[in-house]
Amino acid sequence: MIESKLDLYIDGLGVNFSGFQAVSNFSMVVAHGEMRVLLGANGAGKTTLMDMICGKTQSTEGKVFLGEQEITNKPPHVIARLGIGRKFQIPSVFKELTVLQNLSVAAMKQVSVFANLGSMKRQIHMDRLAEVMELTNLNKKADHVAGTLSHGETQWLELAMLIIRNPKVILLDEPTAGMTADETLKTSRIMNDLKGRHTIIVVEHDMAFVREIADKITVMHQGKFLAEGRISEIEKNQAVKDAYLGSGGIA
Amino acid sequence: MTHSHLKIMAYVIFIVTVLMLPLALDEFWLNRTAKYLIFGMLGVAVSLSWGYAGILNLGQGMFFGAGAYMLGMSLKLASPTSLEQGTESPIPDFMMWNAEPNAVIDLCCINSGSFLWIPFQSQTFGLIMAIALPVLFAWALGSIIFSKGISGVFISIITLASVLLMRLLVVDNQALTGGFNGLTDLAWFTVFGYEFDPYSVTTYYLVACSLIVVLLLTRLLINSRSGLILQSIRDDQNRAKYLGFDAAAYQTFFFCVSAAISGFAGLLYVITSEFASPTFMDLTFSITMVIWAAVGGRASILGACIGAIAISMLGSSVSESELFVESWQAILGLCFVLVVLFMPNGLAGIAHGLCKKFVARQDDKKQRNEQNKAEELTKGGAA
Ligand SMILES: Nc1ncnc2c1ncn2[C@@H]1O[C@H](COP(=O)(O)OP(=O)(O)O)[C@@H](O)[C@H]1O
Ligand SMILES: [Mg+2]
Repeated sequence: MIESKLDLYIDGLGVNFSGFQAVSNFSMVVAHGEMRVLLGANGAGKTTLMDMICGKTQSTEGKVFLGEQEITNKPPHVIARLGIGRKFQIPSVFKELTVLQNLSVAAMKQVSVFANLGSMKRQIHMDRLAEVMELTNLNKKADHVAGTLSHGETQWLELAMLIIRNPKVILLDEPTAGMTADETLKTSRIMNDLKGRHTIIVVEHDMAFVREIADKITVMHQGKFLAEGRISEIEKNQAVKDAYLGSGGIA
Repeated sequence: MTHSHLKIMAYVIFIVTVLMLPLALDEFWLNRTAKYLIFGMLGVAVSLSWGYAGILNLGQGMFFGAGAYMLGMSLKLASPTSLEQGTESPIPDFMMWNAEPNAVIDLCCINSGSFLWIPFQSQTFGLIMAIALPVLFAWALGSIIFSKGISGVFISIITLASVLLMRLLVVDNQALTGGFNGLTDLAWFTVFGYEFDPYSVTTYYLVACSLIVVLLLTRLLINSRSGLILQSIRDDQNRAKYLGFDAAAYQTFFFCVSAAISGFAGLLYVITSEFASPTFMDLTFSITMVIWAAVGGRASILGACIGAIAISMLGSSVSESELFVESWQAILGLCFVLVVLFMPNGLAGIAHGLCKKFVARQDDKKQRNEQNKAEELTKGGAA
């Protein structure tokens, strides 16, 4: 390891889907507490990269470290237990359970079947639950069935489920997709609140949102690393301009 | 009065009714009702697996059958006919009929598999195996299915194939299992010298208390943290995995619990009916169980339990009348289709809805009362 205060270290990661190289030789170092934005056109491989980090897709080359520990291609639930939380592009929550139940499941400290045969009350901190619901604007929805929530609320619920587990690293795939302007604004508030408490990697297209939250940006292009730097640097970067030329720049 | 109060009330009414029935029924009906209660236990097992774990098992009969045969083997060896074959160890009559002319007449070697019966001379062994074997089957099957992430209709196909395979094996090994005839002419279940006469009130209470215990334990299990996690896995397996839960372990565990309940039901059925038959592993029986749960409400264990009891009761009284003998299966099938189409949560779903309305109306009334009071107070204050 190069630095001691880094949370996520990706070294030459890549995947080949039976002939199609979706991501190749990608490296990135994310420091503790950093908010990193991942940019790239559709199909650049951002989702696939996150899939490899959290164990959803098996990488075919390279390594991933969480702090000192290698987590390359471990089973998803093991990676999750080690401290990586993942939010999906298509929001996924437990539709037949209430908001409170969704969060209770996420808040459970024990993960094994036998350890969880006990009653519900003993293990869940209601204070923490209330705090997270407040943060994600869900405090009035505690008893609503998750399947009845609006799209934006569903996104927040999934976010809340990650936050309540208090993972070291949070991976967010397009958290504002399909949100109204107002909801996007609320989401950026949530993100800024999380800043510094978790190491966060977020895929996002909305440049106003990116300006609002980002520390540092990494740009992917056709499965490869293209550029990295502060937002002003990225906007000036020639390689980025060239790559985005067809689509009229990143903003 | 809240929703959970009404739920508790439903359980209490059910339990009290079950315990009071011997006051109203004669021996014949007690025995019959005991069998229906056992089917109720199967309803609980199906509800747990289908409603709460999202596993539509079309081969629940394999666990029921395994439980029944395991205790059945012990009771067969304990029967007078087996004991009076003039040999040192008891030998089932069908083994004698199927024996080769020069076979050694002993349980160890009358045929190539008969040694498997030796430990069943102990009824305790049969009793333990009646739970252990279904659990073992479920564990083996579940570990493969769930760790491979197989889900939905494929699980149904695999379990369906498994029960058919098991039925085939039982029927084909006549010398070992009694084949088509199954195990008949069984001894009574005996504990510390007390014999459980299938037509006695004691046997009825054995079954009734077993059902109540299973019902309450399952309820407890569902209300536990694991129970909630199980339901979350049913809703979205991936979300649960990426929160750190080993979905396969949860599914396998509850699949085994469901198998244990079915095995327990199987052993109780042998005690009350005095036979074990390959029909327990008929496809129609396993599917009937699913219909019980669907009609009663698969997402409610009490609903599924009552569904099983009510439908099997209705079925046996209806099929006694000439008119319905042939058509009962068709009627049952039609019920299933209608329920699936028009009331996905079954009778329990309807009861649930009614309770909700009732609670809401009560809350309304309370609010209005309080409002009225408040208004009167302000009026009083003004005057
Ligand atoms: N399982 C898969 N099999 C084959 N190709 C895939 C698979 N997953 C993603 N891809 C391809 O990899 C590329 C990158 O996709 P993705 O990571 O979703 O892009 P992004 O999230 O940046 O829009 C796309 O061309 C996509 O079609
Ligand atoms: Mg994507």
